[in-house]
Amino acid sequence: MDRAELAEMQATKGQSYWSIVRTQFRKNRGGMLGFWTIMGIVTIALLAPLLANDRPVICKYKDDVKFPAFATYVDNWVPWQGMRYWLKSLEVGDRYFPFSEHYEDLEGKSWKQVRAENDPELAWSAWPPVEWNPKKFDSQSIKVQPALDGEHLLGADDQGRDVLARIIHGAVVAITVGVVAMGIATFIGIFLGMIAGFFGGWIDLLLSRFVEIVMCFPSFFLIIAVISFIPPSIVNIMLVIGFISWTGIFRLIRGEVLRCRAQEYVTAAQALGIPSKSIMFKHLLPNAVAPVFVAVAFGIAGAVLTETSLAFLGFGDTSVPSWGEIVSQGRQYLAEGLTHLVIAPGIAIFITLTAFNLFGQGLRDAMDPRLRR
Amino acid sequence: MVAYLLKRLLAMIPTLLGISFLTFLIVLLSPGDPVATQMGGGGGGGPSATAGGGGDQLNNQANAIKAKKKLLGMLEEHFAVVTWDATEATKARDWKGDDKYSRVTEIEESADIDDLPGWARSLALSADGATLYVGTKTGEIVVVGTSDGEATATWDALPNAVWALGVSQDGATVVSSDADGQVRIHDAADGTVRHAADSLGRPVNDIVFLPDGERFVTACDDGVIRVHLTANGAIDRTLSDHNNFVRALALSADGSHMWSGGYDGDLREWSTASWTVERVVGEHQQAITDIALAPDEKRAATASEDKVIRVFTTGVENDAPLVELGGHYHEVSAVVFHPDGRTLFSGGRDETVRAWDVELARQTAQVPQNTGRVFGLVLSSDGSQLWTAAESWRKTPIPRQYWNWLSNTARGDFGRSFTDQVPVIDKIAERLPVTLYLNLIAIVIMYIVSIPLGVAAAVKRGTPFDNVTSFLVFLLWSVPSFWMATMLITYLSSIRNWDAFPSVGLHDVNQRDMSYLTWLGDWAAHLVLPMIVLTYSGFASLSRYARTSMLETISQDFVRTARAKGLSERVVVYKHALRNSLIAIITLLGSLLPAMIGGSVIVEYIFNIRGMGLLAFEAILQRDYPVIMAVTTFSALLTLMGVLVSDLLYGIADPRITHK
Repeated sequence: MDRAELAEMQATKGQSYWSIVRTQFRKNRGGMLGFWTIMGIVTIALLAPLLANDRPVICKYKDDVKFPAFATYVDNWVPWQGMRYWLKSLEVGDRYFPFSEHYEDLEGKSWKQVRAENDPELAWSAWPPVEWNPKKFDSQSIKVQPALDGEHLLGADDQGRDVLARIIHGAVVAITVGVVAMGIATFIGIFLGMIAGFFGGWIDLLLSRFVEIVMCFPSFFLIIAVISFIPPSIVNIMLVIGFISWTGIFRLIRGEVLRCRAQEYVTAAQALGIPSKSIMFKHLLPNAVAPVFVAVAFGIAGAVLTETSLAFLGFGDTSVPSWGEIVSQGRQYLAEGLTHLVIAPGIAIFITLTAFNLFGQGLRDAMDPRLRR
Repeated sequence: MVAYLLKRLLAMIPTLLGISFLTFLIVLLSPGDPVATQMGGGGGGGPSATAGGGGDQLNNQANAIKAKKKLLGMLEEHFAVVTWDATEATKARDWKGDDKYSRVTEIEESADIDDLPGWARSLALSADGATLYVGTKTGEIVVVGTSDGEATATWDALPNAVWALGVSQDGATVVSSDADGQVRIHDAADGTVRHAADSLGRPVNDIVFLPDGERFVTACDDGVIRVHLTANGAIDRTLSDHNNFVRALALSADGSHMWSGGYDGDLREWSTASWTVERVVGEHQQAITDIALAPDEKRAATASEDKVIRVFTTGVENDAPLVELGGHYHEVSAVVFHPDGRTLFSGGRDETVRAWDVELARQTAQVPQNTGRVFGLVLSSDGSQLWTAAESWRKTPIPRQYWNWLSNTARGDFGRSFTDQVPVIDKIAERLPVTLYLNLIAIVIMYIVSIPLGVAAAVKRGTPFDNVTSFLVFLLWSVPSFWMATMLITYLSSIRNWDAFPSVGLHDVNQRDMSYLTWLGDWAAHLVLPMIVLTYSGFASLSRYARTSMLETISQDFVRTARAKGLSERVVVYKHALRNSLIAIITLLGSLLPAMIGGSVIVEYIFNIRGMGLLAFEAILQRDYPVIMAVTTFSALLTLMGVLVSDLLYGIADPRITHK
């Protein structure tokens, strides 16, 4: 009986664990709401340069079809400055820099100026819905209040940057921080948890003791203490959050592995002489990993909250638009009544956190056999 | 119970060790030098001093870094005559590369003369080069054999620092002087004081022996050069040509000429036959601190407080210096010629030792940065080793750093704050109680509100009440606390909207003038907003836990029995079920505490409450490492205590759990 037949047999005999969970999850309205909201935020994050930018998504200029807005992807997705510079100076064909901010053909004018002047060279253009770049300072629109008929839908901040554009691009920061930090934490947690649970003995004692000690530190304290020693770039913030918040996952996995280890299939695998590495990652891991998904969903919310809090306190990376940073900027101008600076990003954070929390809760309920309907 | 408590406290010891180790690691293993990071990046990435502030600023920065390292215990006092490889340093000038005129090689350290009783203050080498006499700051004279660098004898000679040492040419007599100006004549064989002159009241800065060994010359801070008789220490002659303190003396090998220099900045060349000044060189802007003669005696080099080393031609009526060597950024205190006649070593108050080439007229080598203020330099007679008397510091070995940090922590000594030199423990003692009582009140409020909420929701399971409270509490859970606080201030504490509650601090500024009741009211009003922020997110998790554990308990058999007995629903819920469902909620306390203490940074920052969170925030902004380490340690200790308390409460809520 080969593997394909076996899979077929399993598929016909009954539902797998994950298909049960999927069905259960679909019945959970809150969880589904959270899931689709997360999908929406991720979509916004992925399309941020095309949703909020000060240049057309696509246009025909001087008889050439160009995609100027796509250059912003370099700014958004390449975390290393050197690589950004390299990409921006990358020349394709004859004097065409696909990732550069500036087109030499524009002769120093911005795309908006070109459009305003009704330049005949610009045959047609399609613009993003929000025609502002989150990083461009604009002295014309400092502290503009939100207006539905005005240029800035959610107003502008103290340096004239459009708040809506910053919130849209902030989704990139929030999602990356959440996913990358939790990815690191999950990897470390699963790896060390497996080792501790499977081998037991002094390895387990040592690792568990270490985790106990790390858990004694209020993690937010520890994070800001570590952040203060290293340059606060967004990559470093992700790393620090990841390296500090793996303890919960470690405990989950260790507990699960300890439970599964005593079961017969592990003994059988050991009796067959299968190497420990295969037992751990091929046999134990799939059985022990389920509760981690719930922890990861909540953990992403926690990581987003930590990052925004760091940015709010001023320990964040000021070169990227973080939601927390917008709130802390707005806080300085509360006396002037610039409440939009606080309310708008706050709602963005709130929606993100709620979505992940709802998703996590829905997942937990779906996995809980007692709540099965 | 007591035994259990003791056992738990004992079991905490490894955890405490781990906590202190982790805190220590944070500072130690952070990328880059923590102290340097503070100096360079402290201004939030502003232009650093290296960008073009000039050498002085750079050096001041280096000094400040060193001072902070000393405070952190990363450097320790090094009681030794630090020995450098002088041969390598002289070779530096032969470098043939492109950067021939700018390259400064690093002088390497060879085996130090260690384990002195104190810092070396003065050095003297016997004429045969076999014995080095080291005078320490604590008043001992240590005799060192130069061949193996081992101390052969220690004389407890003087009541205070040995300011200068001189050895007679035949090596039988050693003369020492102390800060008090007392000159003592020792027998070189065993160190016995043959004669002690009366104290001059002012330090004697330098001692040289005339070649016949019958007389020696001292330079004193009172501006007088004295010629003493070796036999009985009597003053043979006083020379009062200098008008203020004399710092340095040098004598030609045949003893016919002597050079002296001091505060007046004039280098005087004496004829020892007549003891008259033959020539005065007045090129120095500040005091001369040391004089060195080249082996051929055709040139003399001076070290000066004006940071410049000058080389003069001896005996010729040409005052202009041959070479001026500038590079030290503070007083040059010692200078010595290498036997090759070209290389010059100098050391100074800027805590560096440098090698210069007289012909190239530039610096060729320098020691790495970890020396201290240099008092004296002596070269071995073959020119291979350079001994320095300095207030040396060296890197503390990491295990010792950790041990010091641990033992100081155990004694409650967290060092002093970098910013205001206040002991860190005093700062903590001022701030910790504020955070503690705020969080305790918050925890009590959280439990008081959420347990009934959760219980009611469980009892009325599935009703609109249950759904609405669950939903609201769930939404509250996802509100970031800094945003909540900002919104509360916007709408409840601003003149634009509704100025209902104060939002700064815990008391009004003029709290001292209030009657007790008004004071209490003022305090309560100040507490409202911080309390809302501290508690609201806890409602969610606590009431949810209360609800689930209550639901589990209600479905158990004993509850059905209680109902079957005909007990009222109230009694069933509040007397039978509640106590059993409490256990799960109490265990939450252990995990609640770290989150609350971590969260206090934000709350205290926004409401400007002078607690430990704000202290941590300020310390991190100012890169105040002792405070950061102390705050981190204390927060971990608080968490440990919280876990212990929740374990004890466990036993109270459930009598079946006994602590043995």
